[in-house]
Amino acid sequence: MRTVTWIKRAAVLAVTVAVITSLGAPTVRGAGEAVKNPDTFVELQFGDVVSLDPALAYDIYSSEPIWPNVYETLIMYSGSSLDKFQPMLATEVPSLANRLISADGLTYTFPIRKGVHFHDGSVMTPGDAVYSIRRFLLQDQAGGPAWLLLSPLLGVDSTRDDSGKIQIAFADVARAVSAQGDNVVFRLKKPFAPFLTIVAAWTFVMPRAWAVAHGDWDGDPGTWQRYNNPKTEDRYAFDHMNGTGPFTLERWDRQAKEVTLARHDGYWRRPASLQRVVVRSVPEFATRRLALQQGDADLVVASLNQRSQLLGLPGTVVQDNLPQIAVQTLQFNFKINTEANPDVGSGRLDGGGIPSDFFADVHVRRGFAYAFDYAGNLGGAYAGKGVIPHGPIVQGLLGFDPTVPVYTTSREKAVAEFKEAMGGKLWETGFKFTIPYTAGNTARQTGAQIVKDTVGALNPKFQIEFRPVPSSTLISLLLAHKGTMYFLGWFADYPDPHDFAQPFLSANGYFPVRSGYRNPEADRLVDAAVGTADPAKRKALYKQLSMISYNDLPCLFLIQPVTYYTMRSWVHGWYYNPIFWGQYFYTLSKR
Amino acid sequence: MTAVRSSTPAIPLSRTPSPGRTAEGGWHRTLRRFRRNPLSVLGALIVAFFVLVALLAPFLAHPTERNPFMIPHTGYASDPHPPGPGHPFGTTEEQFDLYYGVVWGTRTAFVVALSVVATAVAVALVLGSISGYYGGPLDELVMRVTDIFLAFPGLILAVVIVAVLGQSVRNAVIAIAVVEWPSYTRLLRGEFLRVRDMEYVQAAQALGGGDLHIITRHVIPNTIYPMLILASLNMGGIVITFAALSFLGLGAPIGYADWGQLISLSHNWIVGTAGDPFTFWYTLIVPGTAIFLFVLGWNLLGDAFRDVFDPRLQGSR
Repeated sequence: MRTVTWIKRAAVLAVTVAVITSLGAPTVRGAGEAVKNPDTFVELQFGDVVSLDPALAYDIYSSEPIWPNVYETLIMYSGSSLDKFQPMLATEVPSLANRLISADGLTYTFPIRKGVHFHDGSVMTPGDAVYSIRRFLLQDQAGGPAWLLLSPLLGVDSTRDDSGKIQIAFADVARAVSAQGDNVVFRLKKPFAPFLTIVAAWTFVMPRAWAVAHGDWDGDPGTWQRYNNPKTEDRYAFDHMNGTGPFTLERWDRQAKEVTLARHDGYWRRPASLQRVVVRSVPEFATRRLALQQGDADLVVASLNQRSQLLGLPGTVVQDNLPQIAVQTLQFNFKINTEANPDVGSGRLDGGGIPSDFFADVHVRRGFAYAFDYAGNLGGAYAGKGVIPHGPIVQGLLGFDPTVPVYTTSREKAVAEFKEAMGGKLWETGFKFTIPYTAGNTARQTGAQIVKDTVGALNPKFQIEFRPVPSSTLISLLLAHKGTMYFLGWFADYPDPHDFAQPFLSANGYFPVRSGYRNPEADRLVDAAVGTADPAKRKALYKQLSMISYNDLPCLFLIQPVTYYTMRSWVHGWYYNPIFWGQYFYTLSKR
Repeated sequence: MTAVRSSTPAIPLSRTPSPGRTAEGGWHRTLRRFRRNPLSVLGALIVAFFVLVALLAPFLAHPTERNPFMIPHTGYASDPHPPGPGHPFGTTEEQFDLYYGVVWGTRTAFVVALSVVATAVAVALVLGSISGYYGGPLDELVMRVTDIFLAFPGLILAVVIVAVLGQSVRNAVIAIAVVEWPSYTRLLRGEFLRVRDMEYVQAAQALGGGDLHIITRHVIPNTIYPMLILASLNMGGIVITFAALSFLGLGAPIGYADWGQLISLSHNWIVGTAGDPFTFWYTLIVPGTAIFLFVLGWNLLGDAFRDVFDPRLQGSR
């Protein structure tokens, strides 16, 4: 019975040797060699799409196909610039000079382009733009992106108050966004200088008739409340797309974690050079790298600690050291949903788990903050490619202040904090929980390893495990408040400190919605800062917020990293803008 | 000289001759048969070597962590480092020391393999005995249950069980034991069917021996050898299954001294760097060699056991 097995084993060995040897054979695809699949662009990364609804998606993997590839905005960032704009669905970029911004800075007028066709062939009207933007404001899933426009237009960051009751009137929305002739007009609550940077990335337009025909809100003042705060999968637009962009959605294969886009031949500009774009989630790094090496992938995304294996691959180019307006954080969940949650152990403070309010204790959080090895994380997870942030306001933004203190590794302080935690009981009972992290994100895997090692070394009763989950699963887990402690990055929605203060510190911000952190003083300061025009005063307010963040410690700010992309050298027309969540496929070609 | 107690009511059941032991002198002959095959000796040597490594692990690789099974690592740099001073086998991803991992991984391998075999044999002894000795509906029931278990592909079943129970070494052992017990049970039951009608068993029954007595004293000693052969041949397979579970992230946690875990840590580095696929060869070759030798050793030893113990092969050599 064994002889067959031996023959089989010998055969497997021979095949393995042959495969490994063939990998060593020079696979130079330099100049002159034919481009593989010249009309199709394949990007491999490790995240996957949560939703394709532009009014709901709020993670970089979902957003990559959405903007600016399938849906477009009224204006857009010009090239790599963060402060120059180009007209898109509007024909002009408003300014004081062209009088499309009123002298008081409160009214913005966008003349809408004519003859733009949606992917279903219908013609875009100013009414579609107004409908889409109102839908973006009013759909407002908790913890979603609606606050980006609600904040400057209505002066609130949610359509609902703390108790979940609707707090805005449709009339206010109608006044804030309206169609006047061929124009779309925005009326702001207060002057807000970065408003154009928000419009440039968050005013996606979809056809109203298409949405209504598929059961979405009909634009009626009386019915919008029924469509407020939906579940992720509620709307037709969740997995169907109909925009004006250079690509149409061909297929979203949720099983294969793959989105396929096809060229929109009726695009209002010259159609894209690429016929088809495939964005696929491949958590396994080696697979991604081999696909790139063989020319089966044109561009791969990888963690910084895989960079050394991507440098110098024949026929590829590394776009290196790209600055990011982003920060990687380690989040604490103040109110963990322990129901059917595999990550909390027993769900009690008995040494075999953690209770729901485990991280609500500031001593617990500080214990973790002092235990963490920041330098090890910077060097090991991010290959030294980044800086340790001073609070939520990252370098490059108004309000960044290097005098804001940071937590540094100190075993003694960590022990002291843990001994005080949970009324002094924690040190005796110990705890056990699991950190879920994004599968394929080896930087976060290293970060989780650091937490496990450093905290575990303080007390044998402190047990931490970590497990990989697909990025879309992690996102849903967090929305269900089931995350315990988790790594999450924040990428600028628009380059302004408000986009970092609000998501981290405001009760309706992205992270507090998921973690349960509340501080009324922070809420007040966030509102005050965004309503202040004087840069010096604003800066002072952001420093106060950074200090609150240091003292309250809602999360740990680990690193402001740079990023890089590795692509085949036959890829042309690629450019980088720190606001892009992924690639802009329109300008790309393969030759 | 010996006084025979004539009035004893207990039945003086004579020990039945075991198939492996003949009049020539059992162990002597066994050893000779064993030595005749150089591969058997090689297998025994390899296994002995691993036993030594496992026993001497604290001296070969001094533990620095509280849990000696956690591999020490210096820093969190991702790129593995080749063998050099301080790290005779090099380091793998996140600087886990490969030498330490291989040495303590030997203990893990033995712990896992022996636990699984012990569990599977224990279950087989109970269920196989009952099933084989009594037959009838009970036999039918046990055999259909083993059929159900055997109908699932082993590794898949193990993966499902660990996924349900949660990732840990203990749960992986349980999962593999659940996969393994049916084959042991079936084997033992088959042997029971063969032996239970033999004259010495019937003689024992005729003399009024109880079922338990007959099973434990007469049947099991004469049916256990095929089990031992299967177990020794299986030791390697169990370690491979456990390594597969660890590789899939379902066995030992990251940093645990386990060969499959070490191979899992190498999977990002197997393809090497541009132009040189062998840059990080040691991340795969070192733990791979350990598994290879361990499995080879047990397979050779298992084959040797079969040659020596299996009565059906006695005439052939």
